[in-house]
Amino acid sequence: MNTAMNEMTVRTFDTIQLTTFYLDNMWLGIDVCLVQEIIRYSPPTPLLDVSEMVRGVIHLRGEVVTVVDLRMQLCGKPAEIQRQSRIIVVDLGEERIGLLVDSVEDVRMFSSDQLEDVPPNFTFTDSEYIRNVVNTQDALLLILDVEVLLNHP
Amino acid sequence: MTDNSSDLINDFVVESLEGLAEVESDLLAIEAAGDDLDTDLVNKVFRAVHSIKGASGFLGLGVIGDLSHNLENVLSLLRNGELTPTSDRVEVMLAAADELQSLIESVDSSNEVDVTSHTAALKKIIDGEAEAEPVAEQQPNTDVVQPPGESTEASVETKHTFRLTFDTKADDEIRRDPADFLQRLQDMGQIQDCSVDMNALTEQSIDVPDKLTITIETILEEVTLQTFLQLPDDGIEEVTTDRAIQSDAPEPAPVAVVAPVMESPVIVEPVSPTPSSTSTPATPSPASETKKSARPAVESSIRVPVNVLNRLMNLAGELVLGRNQLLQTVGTNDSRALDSVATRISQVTSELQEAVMQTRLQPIGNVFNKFNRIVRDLSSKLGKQCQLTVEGQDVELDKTIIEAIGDPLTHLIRNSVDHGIELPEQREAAGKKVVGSIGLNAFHQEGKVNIVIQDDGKGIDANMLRRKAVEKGIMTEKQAAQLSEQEAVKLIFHPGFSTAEKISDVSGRGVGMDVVRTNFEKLGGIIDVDTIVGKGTTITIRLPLTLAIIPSLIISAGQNRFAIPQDSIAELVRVREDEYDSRVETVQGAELLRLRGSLLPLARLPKAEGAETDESDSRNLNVIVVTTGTMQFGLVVDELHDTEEIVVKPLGRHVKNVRWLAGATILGDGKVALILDVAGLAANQKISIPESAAKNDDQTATVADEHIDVLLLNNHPEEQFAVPMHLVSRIEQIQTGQIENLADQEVLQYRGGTLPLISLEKHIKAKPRHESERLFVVVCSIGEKEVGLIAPTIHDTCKLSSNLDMSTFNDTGILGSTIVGGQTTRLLEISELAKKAYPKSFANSTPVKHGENDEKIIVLAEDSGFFRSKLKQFMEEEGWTVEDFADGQAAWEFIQSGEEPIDLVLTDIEMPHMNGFDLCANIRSLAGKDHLPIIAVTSLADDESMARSKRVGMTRHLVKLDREQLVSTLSEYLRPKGRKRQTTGSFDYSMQYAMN
Repeated sequence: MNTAMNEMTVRTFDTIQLTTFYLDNMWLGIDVCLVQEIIRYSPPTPLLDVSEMVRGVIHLRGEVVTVVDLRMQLCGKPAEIQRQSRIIVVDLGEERIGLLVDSVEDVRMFSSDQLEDVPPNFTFTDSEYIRNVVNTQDALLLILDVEVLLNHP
Repeated sequence: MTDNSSDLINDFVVESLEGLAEVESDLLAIEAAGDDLDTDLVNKVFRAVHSIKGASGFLGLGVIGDLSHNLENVLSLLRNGELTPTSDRVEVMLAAADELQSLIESVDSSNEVDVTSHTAALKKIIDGEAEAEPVAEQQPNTDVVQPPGESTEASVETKHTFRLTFDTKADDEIRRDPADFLQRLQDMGQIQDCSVDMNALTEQSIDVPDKLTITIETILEEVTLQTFLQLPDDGIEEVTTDRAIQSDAPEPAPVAVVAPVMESPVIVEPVSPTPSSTSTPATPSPASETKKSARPAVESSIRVPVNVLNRLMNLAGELVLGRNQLLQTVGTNDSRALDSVATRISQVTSELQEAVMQTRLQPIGNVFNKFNRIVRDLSSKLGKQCQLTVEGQDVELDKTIIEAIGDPLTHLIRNSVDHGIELPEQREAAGKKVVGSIGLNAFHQEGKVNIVIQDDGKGIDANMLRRKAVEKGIMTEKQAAQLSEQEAVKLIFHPGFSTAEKISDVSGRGVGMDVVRTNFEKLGGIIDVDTIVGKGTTITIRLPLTLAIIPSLIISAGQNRFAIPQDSIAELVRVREDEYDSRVETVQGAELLRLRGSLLPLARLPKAEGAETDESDSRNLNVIVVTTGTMQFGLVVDELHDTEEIVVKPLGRHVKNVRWLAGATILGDGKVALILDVAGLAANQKISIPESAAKNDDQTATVADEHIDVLLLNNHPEEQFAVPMHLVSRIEQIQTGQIENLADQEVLQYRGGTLPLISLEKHIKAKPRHESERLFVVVCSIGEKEVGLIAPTIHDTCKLSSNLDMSTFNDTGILGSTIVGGQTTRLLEISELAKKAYPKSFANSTPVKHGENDEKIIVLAEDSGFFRSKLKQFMEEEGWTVEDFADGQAAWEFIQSGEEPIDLVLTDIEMPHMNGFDLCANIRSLAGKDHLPIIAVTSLADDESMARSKRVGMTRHLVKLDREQLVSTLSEYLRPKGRKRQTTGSFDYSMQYAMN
């Protein structure tokens, strides 16, 4: 239901801007409106007794932000920290969550008619996290549904 | 209007609820006053309801308008003295006010609610007085028509007259439906003049002019009116009375005018151009459409006094200055200047923190106010009579706490009425006042806020609770019997324990006292209950002032740092590696620490995966003894850091279900530390030994066994001795050479005098002292004199079980022996030693010679055999006759029997069957014995038990094993009447503890 609603909001706009990033050779995007900022990786304070996709918490200007290892959640293996590793801080209204990604690429704009439904043979992960795909000339961009993603701790 | 409609409605909701908040208590006060009507109070209620009515009409909230209108009419009659506020009528009004409140709370759907039952009930009251108030009868029951009576009602208000200029070109709403617009204006006040013919305007027979000027008389403030009408600043102008159009029929104000200055003469629209006939009931519809648009939840707002705001502003300014200074100084590398800047910033920050805290503080009266109503409603429903006395409404607490304590407090108050206060006939039979009293009091103490709920009801029957606990399988019969009264009463906080004998619809609805307890504990509070059967119950709640900033100890475990709130820390214990085997027991992987004779379960923080624990590290322990209110356990940590005032930051959704984390905080270095939730951690570690059971570890041996605080010392390394702590006034370290030998006696020059010293081996069978350069002298007070005990080594203080062996070392100066840390330890009787060593100066240290003592009979109640025989011995040596009993019950039976005249009662506090408090309360209630001196001897010398002693009527409260004090106190009360000090019956606080 949530997906359906999001789809509608996407469709009603002519264009959509996406922050795009890489994760284990996947090219992913999230709605730029959700992104508060992108910061360099700094080692988070680990939490114990939580699901292994939670990397820990960091201090971000007076707030404590949970860092989610997106690679763990989507691909089932922990992120390897590299120089390009970034934390995308998304603002979900009631709280901010950091998404640990391999590297951030760009902000891209697409027109809404470029968005396509998720191909039915997507089995690499829970395809419910993917809202739409965009087929560009050279690669396939997967648009993440952040709300759904983060509501599945 | 559409754009701002949700803002307007929000404002309306906030303001109306604020207005209504006090209506309830005011109505109750009106009822209580009865015929002796307080007009100001009625006016206050009236104003609140009237503003709601006015605004609701404007906002198209028909149902709210209708209800408030009817309520207003009743209030109007009340104010004019045409109605008396009988309990029935107030009941109807209260119900209506409640309904009004719930309508406003869910304002979006308010128009669909059926309120006819309320309006009918209100109308019935009005109709009942129809002859007296014909105007009211004529009033149409819709709010859309300006009732002629309105001007009378509003006449006591501070009215303003405004000239409003509307630009109808900009506001096409007026153009679209002028009738509706005028109608809304009339709901807000009295239209006195209009630049065009209003009738024509209503009937739309003329075009709406571009500029419309209307003069209106209203009780609304300028700002409110301007907001409602969305007028530009120059569109509204307050006109003075003389410029307002005067009507010819001024009506005399029936009651005192509240604000006579600034007031226009009361004006009544004589020949109203009001289009009452033409306006249709459908008018609210356009407005109601707009309000149906999605409206965000009403933001909670808070009122801040301007002076606090000014202070904040000043401090913010100072902070900016501090920052500038800091930036400048950092460049110069001048560390001294930097220090001063740091001090300054730290000071400003603390002040700022305090000031911000202040803005969040709200008077607890906000919560207390509603209880009058609850007590009133509930007691009338249950056929009881209760009087609620509220004190300390001004005590302030953090907003979040104020919001959270409402429900649990309500539960406690309901309990008091439902279970505490008896039915009037029962009260009469018990010789109490028919009207039960419930006291609700809030006050500051030790940086915390205490809330005390006290009733004079039937109290809580501990035996009933014991029975229940056994029935419910919470504990075995044996365990239950072992509980002291105090502990048994605390069973009501046990989960799954409903105290209601039968479940009524009032309490016993599944929300037990354990939920109440949990609620308070979540807020960092503590709840305690104290009861005397037949006399009443007192519930005490201690709450922190704020939750936002808590003093905590920072510790580290593994790679992580954690914060533990100071409130939950009892003490810190270090176990060295070589002590590990003797102090820590391991039972099936669970570690237990021996701590002063009791076993404390140990918990380790969950380790991060892969973190290796070093074997030697795991035997070298830093233990933080934490307490959760229901249990105590030791937390093993790697390192202890500083204590800091930490700011609590919430954790995100991924971490919500980790129960042992209470949040996170940011430390001085910018890193995150997690805040431990001690109760959650206990659950995580599956530690669930209730405090009482943990205590029972050393209490089960002899029921209610007690502890003596002692100082452990060695004379010869192989022999350990103990001195009761309360006798020790100081410990001095001296050089051996400082000891002088004078006439075969050892003395020390000490504080300008000579301190007699005692070497143990000279007076008791002990090995000679281990010679060393430095020695300790334990200075003990005996009566007013002091004596020093020489001790080469001093170990520790510890709690000694009073279950002492009194036969093995039967020697003068030895009270008994026990095993401490694997060593036989003899407990010394300093006063005997002193007498033996210095017969001249100490023998007559008991100055009273009791000539007529043989007739004095003392009742002694003491469960510990050791103390009993010692106390008995002390007293018999003074020549008094002692009747001793092993518990309060036996002593009570003896006293009751009246077999022998009793001169004094000496009682322990902690005893099985009947404790000292109960014994005292019982004696005090016995005819003829209410002035009998009752002296408590106890190892509980804390303020709480002192206070309780005083409450139950103890004459004195003494610390055990201080023979001098005991004897001198007793002789004070046993001396012939004429010389007796005037302290009987009153509690003497002047006594000194040797320890203090």
